[in-house]
Amino acid sequence: MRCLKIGILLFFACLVLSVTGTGVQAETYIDKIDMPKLSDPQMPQVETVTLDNGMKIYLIEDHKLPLVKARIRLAAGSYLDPLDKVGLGSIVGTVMRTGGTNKMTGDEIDEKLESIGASVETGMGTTSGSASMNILSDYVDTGLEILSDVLRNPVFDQEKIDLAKTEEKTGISRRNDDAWDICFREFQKIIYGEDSPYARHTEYATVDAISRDDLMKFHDDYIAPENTMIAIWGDFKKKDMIEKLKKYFGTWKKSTVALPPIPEVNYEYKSSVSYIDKKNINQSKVRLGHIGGLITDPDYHATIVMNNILGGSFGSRLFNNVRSKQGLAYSVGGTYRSNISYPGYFFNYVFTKSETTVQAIKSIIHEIENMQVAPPTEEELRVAKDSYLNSFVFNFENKGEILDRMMTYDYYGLPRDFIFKEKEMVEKVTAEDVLAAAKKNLHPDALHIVVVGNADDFDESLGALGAVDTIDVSIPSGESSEELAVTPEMLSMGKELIMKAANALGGVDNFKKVKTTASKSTVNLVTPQGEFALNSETVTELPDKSRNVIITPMGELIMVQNGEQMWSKQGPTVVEGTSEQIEDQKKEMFRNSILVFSNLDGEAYQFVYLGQEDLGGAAVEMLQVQSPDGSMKYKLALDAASFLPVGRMYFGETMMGPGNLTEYLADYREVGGIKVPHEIKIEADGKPVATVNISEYSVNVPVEEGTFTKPQ
Amino acid sequence: MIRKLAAVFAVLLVIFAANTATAFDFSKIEKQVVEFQLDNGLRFVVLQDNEAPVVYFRTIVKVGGASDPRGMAGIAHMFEHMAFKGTREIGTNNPTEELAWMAVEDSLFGLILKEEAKLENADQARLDELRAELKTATDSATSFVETNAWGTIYQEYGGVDLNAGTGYDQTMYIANYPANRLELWFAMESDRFSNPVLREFYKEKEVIAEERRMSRESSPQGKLMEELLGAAFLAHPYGMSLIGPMSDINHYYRPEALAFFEQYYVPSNMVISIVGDVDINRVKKLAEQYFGPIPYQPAPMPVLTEEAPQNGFRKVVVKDKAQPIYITGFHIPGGNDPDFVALEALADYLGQGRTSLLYKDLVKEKKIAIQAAAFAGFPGDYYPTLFGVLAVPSKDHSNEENDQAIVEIIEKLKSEAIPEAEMEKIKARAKASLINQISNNGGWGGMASQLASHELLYGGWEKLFKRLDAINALTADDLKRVANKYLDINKRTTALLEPEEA
Repeated sequence: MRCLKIGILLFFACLVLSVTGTGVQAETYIDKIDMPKLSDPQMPQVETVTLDNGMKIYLIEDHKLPLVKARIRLAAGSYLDPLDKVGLGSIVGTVMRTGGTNKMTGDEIDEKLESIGASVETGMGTTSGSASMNILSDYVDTGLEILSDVLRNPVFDQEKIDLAKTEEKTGISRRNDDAWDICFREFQKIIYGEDSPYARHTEYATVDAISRDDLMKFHDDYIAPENTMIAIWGDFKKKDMIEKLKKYFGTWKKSTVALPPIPEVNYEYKSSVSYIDKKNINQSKVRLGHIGGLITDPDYHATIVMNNILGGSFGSRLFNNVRSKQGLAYSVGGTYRSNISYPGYFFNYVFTKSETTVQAIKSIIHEIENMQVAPPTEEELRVAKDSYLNSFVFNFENKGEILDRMMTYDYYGLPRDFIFKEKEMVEKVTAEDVLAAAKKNLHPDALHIVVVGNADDFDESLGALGAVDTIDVSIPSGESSEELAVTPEMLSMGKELIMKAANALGGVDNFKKVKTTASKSTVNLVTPQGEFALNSETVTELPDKSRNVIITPMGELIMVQNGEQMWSKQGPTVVEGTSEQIEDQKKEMFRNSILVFSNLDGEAYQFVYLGQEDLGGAAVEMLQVQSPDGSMKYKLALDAASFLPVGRMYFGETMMGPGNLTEYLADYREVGGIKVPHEIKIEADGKPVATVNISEYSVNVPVEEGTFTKPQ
Repeated sequence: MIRKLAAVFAVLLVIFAANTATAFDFSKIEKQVVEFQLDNGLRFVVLQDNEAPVVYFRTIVKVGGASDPRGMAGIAHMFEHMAFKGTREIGTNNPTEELAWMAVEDSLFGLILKEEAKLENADQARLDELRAELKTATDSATSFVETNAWGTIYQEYGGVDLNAGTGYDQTMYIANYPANRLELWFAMESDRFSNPVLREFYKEKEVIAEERRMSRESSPQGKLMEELLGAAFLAHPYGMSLIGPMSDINHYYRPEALAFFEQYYVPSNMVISIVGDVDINRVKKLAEQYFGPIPYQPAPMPVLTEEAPQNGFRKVVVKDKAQPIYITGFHIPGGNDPDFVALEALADYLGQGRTSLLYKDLVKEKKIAIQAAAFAGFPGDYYPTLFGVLAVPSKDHSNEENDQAIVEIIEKLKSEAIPEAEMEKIKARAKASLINQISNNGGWGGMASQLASHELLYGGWEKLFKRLDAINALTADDLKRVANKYLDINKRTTALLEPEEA
């Protein structure tokens, strides 16, 4: 029938088929290709020297190119951060380099390195820190001098500290944007404990609590020669290089503080089900698992193979059964992780549509259980070993990686050929070894399950898997939480003042008449590169709808909110607002003057008088405007003489993460019976960030159909 | 409001593309490079490096935006996508049925083209019918496809970083394998360039169309670049769109794409570089075995069209809902001209990095721009090309103001001597950037890629090693001379992105 429908062409196609018969997938040429055994990678000759101050040096001469590279391993890490100052180590790692030294500013270092095409960088991880250098051999002295200087004599310039802190805060503000990130973070906290250095993360408050003195102390205590290993390779003579390193690092004094050991992990097997609500996604992200192992465990090698059979590779059971056969997942897999210094973790994951969430989880648990029932087949064993063995050589692509590994092994007292032993052992793993490892290391009856998704659409309740804990991942604001002791006098005085303000602005009745507003403005943005002007148009329908169009160098940026949802569109891409962004918008609307002054007789707002203060040199009456439950609040400054609002202060998003914002309101003009400020200067933490100049403002202009719908 | 501004700010942090220098001078490495050619004209450049048992493969073809025929702009880029779809043997579970359905697809698309050739007299109902039938045929052909089979085999055998890229002058395919997969790579690479099956062709056009929407139609900057090139090159294909206009993409026809492939993907128009843990004799043997049977065909003609000298100032303005951007381009010779190295050095001095003339003047001192850069060799450098200067005006400052400042700097360059310390800096930076590039065998710009592109485009792989000598030999006078010779303010093309009036 189909042939007839499509006509003669198709008939031709059918004919061809009938002549040649059905194609059966044959062996391809791939199966016949000669693939000899790969020779083992050779370890380069490394010379090791320890300086009198305890600093260890690893050297490889390599004259192939006139280049010298170095990698430093620092035995310090964010595990040393005090609980109320999480983020300290990470900021030390950044500002050691960017903040300059007692010889050169950070900018001077940039200039010096850029002019010779070189780099020196520093950073800090959980259990170790790092520094690196990459420089032409002609300039190696310049490079070593800077490298030694940033490690030994950083001055932690306050401006660069602020920059690093705002970058960290930006990260905090975006951390719930991605469901998979949330799933990972919460899983880590359940495995290791939420205050564990292996799971904890920064909060606004912990970043704010970090001072320059803390950075200096962290540096003085822990960044010390006895905690430092340097690997240096490239175009030099070993003897000369050792002399140079003695010159730049030999006089570095040991610390008087002993490095605290890396914390242990106390884990008890038990099961849990955690749910994180993310309404705006239709695909659940799931992680389930428990604690993992150490690479020194006797059956470590069998767990590598076990992992590949279960979920670690293309042809794994999870891939074949959950994805290919049952079609339950877009992406599925897992890892049994073993670490050197503390136990890793075991997890399987799945991305599956909301409607198959529980089914997919059950299916994964079933596969974990099956691993303990029977040994894998010969074919499974071969493929699992191959996928480890075939990519093994890319561990030896470059000297930097090889030396890094060597320093780590030395630091933890492992043999230098550990990775080769590991490979030999993997080759010997049998199907019975895999079964034994699965029986010992997998605990399908004690799994922690973390689900990020929209439970409204799940196939069945997560309760089918166990008692469900709902986790709130909302970001603590970092806003000072001191409660204001509100007296009736403060409220009545507040009410009196806000009425004066309303009268000064045109009267409550005129505010009540306003249903929509439209404005055009120029926004002068202050960026680290300089000032930049943008045009912006906003249409608002009270109480909760708005559409904002900003013209940028990359084209239009459109943002729409309709009270429930929010979208932003740039180029062809439309992104739905996150719950944080929607929350932020609500707060912005809470500060909307028209809403405030048209609701003075209602319950929505409370006005607390705080007293007379100074704002930018002028006397103001300060009020706190708050919702009755206290969840939303900001300060409103009224000019002490005219009672016009001249300032708004609140905690909110800045371009570099959250901070204390101040808006200065000026240039009042009358529009439709109310007075509207036409110039708004915005400061974040005391620094100007933007000025908004309104060129056109109108009220009660009819709003076009579709203004507040999802941008197309 | 501020959160919205934060989004804008993120956009402003775009860093504009930097040019890449090319030079190096160590004869020890040079002596290890082995070059050979098969009877069919295919050239191999091989560098044995046993440091790790891995091999980096680069196949580079002299085909790109400059080779696209009129009416098929972007077809070189389209073919690059098709090269990952597999071959007669790989990528299908039933080659016979699949090919039969593909023939149906092509016939139907041929009928669509025939109908569309009637232009305004085309029968829309007939077209709709044909398109519906094409979709059915495509679905049938697709049902025999083993999705991503090519990439999956590659990964299974330990390969990493499978990728490809298309420019105006060349298309490069990259692959990195453990050393014992040498023969596997030879088998698969020769297969895909001898027996390509352009499967999922009509579906892939949608992917390309989407790519175009992202990178050009929705991007005022992308539009600006296309318009600059269109205005600067009236005759030479550097003036054509690399990805192609939407109407060309919509009309790509598989038999034509195959004909294009057969014309350009011939051994004499390709170079293969292999760097890593290999035995040269085995490479030669496998090269002969796998690529030898491909018949000789003459290399296609290069583009002989020459741009007539530009006799005046040209200007294009793109009006868009976007903030201003300024770009100006001067005609300069191609990468093989002796003056090119001096022009690259000039671009570095003028506009690369935070210590360059443009950045210091426009951004730091005058504060009229938030970004400023210069580059030599845009959009390609095999043929005569452009020297570009770009600026993003800051608040309250215009494209015109930036133009004025840029012109002043360029005029000063022509009359004043460049300080000796600055010449040293240029040389040190060129050397460092180059040595760093080739300290890595893999990557887009590492040793394997550089050997391949120099052999194919720049007169021999050894030019890679000679380039630094040329840079080191430059004097301040050389830079002044090329500035005077090529940067004629009255014979350039300026493209401005200006905000559309509301």
